[in-house]
Amino acid sequence: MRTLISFCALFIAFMNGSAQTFNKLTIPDSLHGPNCTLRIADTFAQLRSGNQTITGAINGHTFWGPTVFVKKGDTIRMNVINALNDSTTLHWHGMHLPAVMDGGPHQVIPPGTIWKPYWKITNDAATYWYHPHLHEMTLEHVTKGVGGFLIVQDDQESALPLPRTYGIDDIPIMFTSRRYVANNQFAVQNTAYGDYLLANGVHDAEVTLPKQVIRLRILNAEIERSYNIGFSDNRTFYVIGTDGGLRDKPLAVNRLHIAVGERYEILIDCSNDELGKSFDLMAYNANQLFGFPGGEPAQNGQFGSLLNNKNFTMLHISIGERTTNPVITIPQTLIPFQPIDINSASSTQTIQVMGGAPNSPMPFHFMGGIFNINRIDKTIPMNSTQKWTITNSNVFGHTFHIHDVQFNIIARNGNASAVGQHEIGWKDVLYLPRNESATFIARFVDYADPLHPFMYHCHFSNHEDDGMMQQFVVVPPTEVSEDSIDFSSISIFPNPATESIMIDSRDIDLYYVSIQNVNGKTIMMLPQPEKGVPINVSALPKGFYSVRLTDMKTKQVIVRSFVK
Amino acid sequence: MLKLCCTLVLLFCSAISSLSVETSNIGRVITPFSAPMAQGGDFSFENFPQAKAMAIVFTCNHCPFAELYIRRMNDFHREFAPLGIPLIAINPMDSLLYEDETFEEMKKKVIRDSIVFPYLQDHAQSIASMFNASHTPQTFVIQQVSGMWKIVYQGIIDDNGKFPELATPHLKNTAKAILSNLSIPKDVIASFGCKINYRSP
Ligand SMILES: [Cu+2]
Repeated sequence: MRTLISFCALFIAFMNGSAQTFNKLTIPDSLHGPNCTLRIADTFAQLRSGNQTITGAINGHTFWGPTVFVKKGDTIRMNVINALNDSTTLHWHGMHLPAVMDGGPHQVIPPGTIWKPYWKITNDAATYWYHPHLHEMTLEHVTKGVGGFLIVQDDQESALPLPRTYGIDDIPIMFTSRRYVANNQFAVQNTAYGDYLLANGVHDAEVTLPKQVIRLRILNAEIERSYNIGFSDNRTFYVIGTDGGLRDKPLAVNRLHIAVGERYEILIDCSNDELGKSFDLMAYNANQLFGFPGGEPAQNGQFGSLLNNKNFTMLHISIGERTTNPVITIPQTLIPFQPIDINSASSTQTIQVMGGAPNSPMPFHFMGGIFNINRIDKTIPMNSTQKWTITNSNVFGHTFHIHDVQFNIIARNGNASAVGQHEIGWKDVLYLPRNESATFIARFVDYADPLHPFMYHCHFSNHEDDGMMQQFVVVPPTEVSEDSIDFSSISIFPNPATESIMIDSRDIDLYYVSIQNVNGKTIMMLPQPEKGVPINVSALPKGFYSVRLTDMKTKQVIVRSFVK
Repeated sequence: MLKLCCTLVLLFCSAISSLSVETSNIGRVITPFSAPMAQGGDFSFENFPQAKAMAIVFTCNHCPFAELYIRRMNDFHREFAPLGIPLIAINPMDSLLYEDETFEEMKKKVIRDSIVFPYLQDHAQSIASMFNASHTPQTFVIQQVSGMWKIVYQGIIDDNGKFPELATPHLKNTAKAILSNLSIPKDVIASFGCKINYRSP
């Protein structure tokens, strides 16, 4: 319904040159765990006057996807259906989970295939997101609009007097920008910046907020651009959450730098604003230091944009009626922050940004080489605490993202006091300006898997696609014996099957199961399937299917089959 | 360990690649082709012995943007086939990769959408390769010039998928120009829609 209304609104209020015309901000539909089906599909959207823009989206949206709500402690089971024209992946950004469920470049979902990861939510309440991560295709699929929010709730957060009525006083907003080429299609190549801002897929967005305390969950989903946010009336606002959790107490600020991939939860106090008053959420991006992504002066070309080096409106806000039971005060305290003990780190990993300079034969990458999907760059012992220092003695700013963990930034340029107040807390992305270094500390406590790596990379998806990405594995403390396994007892029943199949693997743990049809096409992918849980095959057409089973210990593969 | 890793990747990857740069194929000579028709029988150029030109539209069953154009393609064929410019639709999608793109599904689509133009399966993707086609619904016009079929138009059917009444009808304009012996603009209009993923050789 929301989608329909917003589509009509968009269609009527076509984009035009006038700054006074706004379109209603859409709020993505919500989807509640622990069982979620996400169907990624090609579609199109009327984003401006003229032709429709080819987009990619999830569950019937025309850009972006539903907000998935999950509770800490629950086991979430995802049914990801790739109905796109291309192979893709879906990565659960910020989640702590087994590498084989993580949706990185190794978990390729071919078109028409279902991928069924599941994991126990151990992350704290915060705003996470999901997006494609197929190497060399991330930029294209993210540009199309594939992605969504993933909001974790927990008891501690629920006990706080914070706004949490979704879409009313608790608003998730994904900001990004796009450039249009012929026929209103999104530019993908040679474009670091869009020319027109989108808020949840809406150009020139406006929202009416009730006259009370409002929580905005802001995601920077740009290709490269940072936002130096603030409000047009220069009001103070309050940072309450970082990428992976709430802060110990709100931080009052007038400006906040949000780089690509980062999420910040902020509170704005509208309780004393007059009804009907309007003001803007702004990006104060003009006159930044060189190296600020989006500070380049050019208006066009690969590194130019109509929004570069400019202050621009991100969201037009009007004040409406107060709701019943509003939050009208900013809380004094939130969640006690227990940082990782700096002295507990057993080793330091060093990462150096390389390449990318004008005339450099190599694109941006990390020392050790541009991304190679068959090369493991770092091996991290399980149960270790590590410091990572990333040094950028290079030409431009980047954002650094690591999978698997939430970290604490402990130093910038080796100096603990140079860490921004706003970035103290749990993070999975950090902004790395040029000629600086940053050090974080993280714990690698479980999900050892010597085979399947996690990624660390620049979150500028063009840099990532060009190879500014490397991989690490978390290994168990003792070497696993690679004895051969007796597979003869593994069986699949019932055969023939109708509704579902069961895999009787006895005492063998399965690492991966994939089901192929008679043409050899993979139609279902099940990482580490749970023992004793039936696999639903009711939607498959009648026919012969082969099942590839990979053993957890030896990674040996055997093939079984069934008929439906 | 790395070898295993590699095996895993291969196992999950479908071998697809695509043409990303759109180059002009205008002027290229097209060898008359034949292919099985979802309506039954084989299509060949002899099916339209009076044709001066043909509109060649690469399309498929699963692409939502291509889907918008089926009615317009029917209308074009009804209007221009009797005047010597039939519309030929070609499905170049790999039916191993997309279950919606089998010949059986094409037959169902012909009935469901009352398709009146020939709908061909380009099973080996050889017709698409000959045109250098990159997306569905990408559109070409070929014209017979001194005994040879040459590409004279490369682009789109029109420039508004959802609202034909707001569109500039590029394909129709090209057909009308041919019928009036007027010159045809040589500009390529970039195609968009669903990428044609060519099977790796
Ligand atoms: Cu970068």
